[in-house]
Amino acid sequence: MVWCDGEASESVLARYFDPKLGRFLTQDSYLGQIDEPPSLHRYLYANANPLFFTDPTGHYSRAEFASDLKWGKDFASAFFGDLAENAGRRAVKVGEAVVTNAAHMVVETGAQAHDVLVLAADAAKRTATGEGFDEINLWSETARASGEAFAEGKSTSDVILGNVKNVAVSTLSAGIVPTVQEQYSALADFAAGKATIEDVEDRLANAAGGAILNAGLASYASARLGYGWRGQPLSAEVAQLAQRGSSIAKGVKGLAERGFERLHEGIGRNDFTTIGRIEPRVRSESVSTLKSIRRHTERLVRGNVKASNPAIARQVRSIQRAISREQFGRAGTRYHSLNFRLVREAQAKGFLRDVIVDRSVQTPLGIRRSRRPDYRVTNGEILDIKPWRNNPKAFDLTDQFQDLLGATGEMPIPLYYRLW
Amino acid sequence: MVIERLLGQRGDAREILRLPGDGYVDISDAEWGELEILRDLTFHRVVLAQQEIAVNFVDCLFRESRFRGLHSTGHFWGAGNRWERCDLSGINLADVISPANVFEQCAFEDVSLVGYKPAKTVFRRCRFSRLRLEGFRVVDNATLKGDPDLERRGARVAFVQCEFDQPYFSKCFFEGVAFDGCQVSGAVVEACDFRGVITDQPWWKADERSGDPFIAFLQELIDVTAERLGKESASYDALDGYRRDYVSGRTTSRDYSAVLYGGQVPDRELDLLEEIFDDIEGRYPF
Repeated sequence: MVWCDGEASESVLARYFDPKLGRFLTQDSYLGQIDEPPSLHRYLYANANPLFFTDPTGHYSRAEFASDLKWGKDFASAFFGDLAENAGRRAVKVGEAVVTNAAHMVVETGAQAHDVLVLAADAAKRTATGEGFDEINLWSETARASGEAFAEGKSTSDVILGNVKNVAVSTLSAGIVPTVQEQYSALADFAAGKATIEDVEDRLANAAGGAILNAGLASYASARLGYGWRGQPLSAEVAQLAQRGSSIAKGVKGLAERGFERLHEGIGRNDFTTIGRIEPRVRSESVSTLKSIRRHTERLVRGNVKASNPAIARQVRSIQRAISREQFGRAGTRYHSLNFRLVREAQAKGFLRDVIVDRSVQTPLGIRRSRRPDYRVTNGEILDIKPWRNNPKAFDLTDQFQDLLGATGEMPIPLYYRLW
Repeated sequence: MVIERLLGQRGDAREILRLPGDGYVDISDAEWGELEILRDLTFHRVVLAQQEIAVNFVDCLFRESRFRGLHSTGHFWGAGNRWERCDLSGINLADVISPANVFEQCAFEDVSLVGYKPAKTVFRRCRFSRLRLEGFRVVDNATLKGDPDLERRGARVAFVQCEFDQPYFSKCFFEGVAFDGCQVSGAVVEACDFRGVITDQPWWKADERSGDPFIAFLQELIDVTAERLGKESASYDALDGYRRDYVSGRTTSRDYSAVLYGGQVPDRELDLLEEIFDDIEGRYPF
């Protein structure tokens, strides 16, 4: 059967799906990894921010790393290449976004808080297993330092440099063994005197734009405002946001500490033992189907396939229009609506019987949020399948890192597939 | 606590819930509004009333059960279920789907289904009183195993020996639906497409045969465009021109949005229309 979105099968480039296997039998140009477990892991492990999170089970493969590296290079290239000519325009956009989208910003900053919650929970696990490392403190300190630095009007590169040093010292003093992730090995080289700070900066930037994204909560939040913040000197609004990120981080730290206490007292749920239960699921038919639908949606938007259903064709044009106007938030929102529609159609056909699309999620500490960015929620039952993240060739600029509160004020609404 | 106790369980729900006797038992509970999936359960003589329902049923059997005053806004669905001698009344479901379901001798009274998209579903010897079906379309999946009654008739949805009293059908595509030995009285039909219906006894009037939900859909788009942007707008002009071409047969393509996104319609008009179109499209069986 050809997987398509309408009553007819005009999607001539669509792949063939074997419902018995729950898999597509043919691949498109980018689907070389569809049957490869590591590519599925991408949806489970720290995908929104692979340098911000750890990979405790070690499933972050070399292949994935290579892919991220490629993506990171593209990202960094676009990031810096845009600086000179667009700095002024971006700065104006950022200023407008800050003024007109204050409410969205709060929501977005809350999402950052959630990032920290997840990270905190992971730190709790490390503590419990004797790998004690006060990551929360590190990140909140980094965030605070970033906020102060921005507020003092320091340049972006100075802030990054300062954070790199802090992270290097903190991680190495905590005895963390460098892993496959470039950030740690670069920092280790720096601490061991094998690399200059310039080398480290270069390697981190090459890794995945990580020098920027990994600079801590506040700078991460700032990065979410768009590459406009590179238009140095930083605007006062961005500096304020950074400060806000810092104060949120402090608040979250308190929350996280209470979470740790609950865990130690046996009241809280330790959701991190469920990773082993998730892994078999990611090889399930439903995840394969969800992935395939997601990619089919991408192909529709890219124009590689044509929708036979007129309403879907209209939705696709709407997304394409948003992208052409650089309204990436709007594009993301509409992408998810389209994806949801195709998932529902698949369910109507009898597939995905173990999947519920849930627009809200339960965070580790029991806070229910209506939306949050892309990463695994650690209760073991929720996956987030996002568009574009893993395709370095398509829609670089629509990636969530630039999707931001956006100059548009539109927020993407990720879909969450709960698997039974 | 009903859902919590049933989650992950299989078998007789009465036993799992420790319900006494063999009489009807009300299992209504606020938790029916939670997004959950119950599977491989048998419900016998249970009553579910006045609930927002989001819990989904997979491979369940319902016998002699009563469902009253239930409503959903798009989350509820069921797959592979069998419903025998059940009463359903005052039900309002939106965007419901039902792959591989069988309804046997069930009574539907004042049931409204908006955006219903069934696949391989059979209604056998069921009674429908004041059924309201709006935006109905059969979903195709040749690989999905269905009831023998479907295979025999070459249908994807079948109503076999059913009675319809005062049904209301609006914006429905009936292609792939079999009506076999059904009695229909007092039916009201609006903008429905009966092409591809499998039956020896057409129950709809001849002038209703030509109904096309797509034209009704187009007209609604045009009306709302005129209301919001005026008849002088580029959007109105484009859509109205397309409608004329479609109705006259100059084009058979239903790709109505091509005329909007070709560069002639300004972005400010599209910004407004896209939100409105999302809503309208949701009420039609695409």
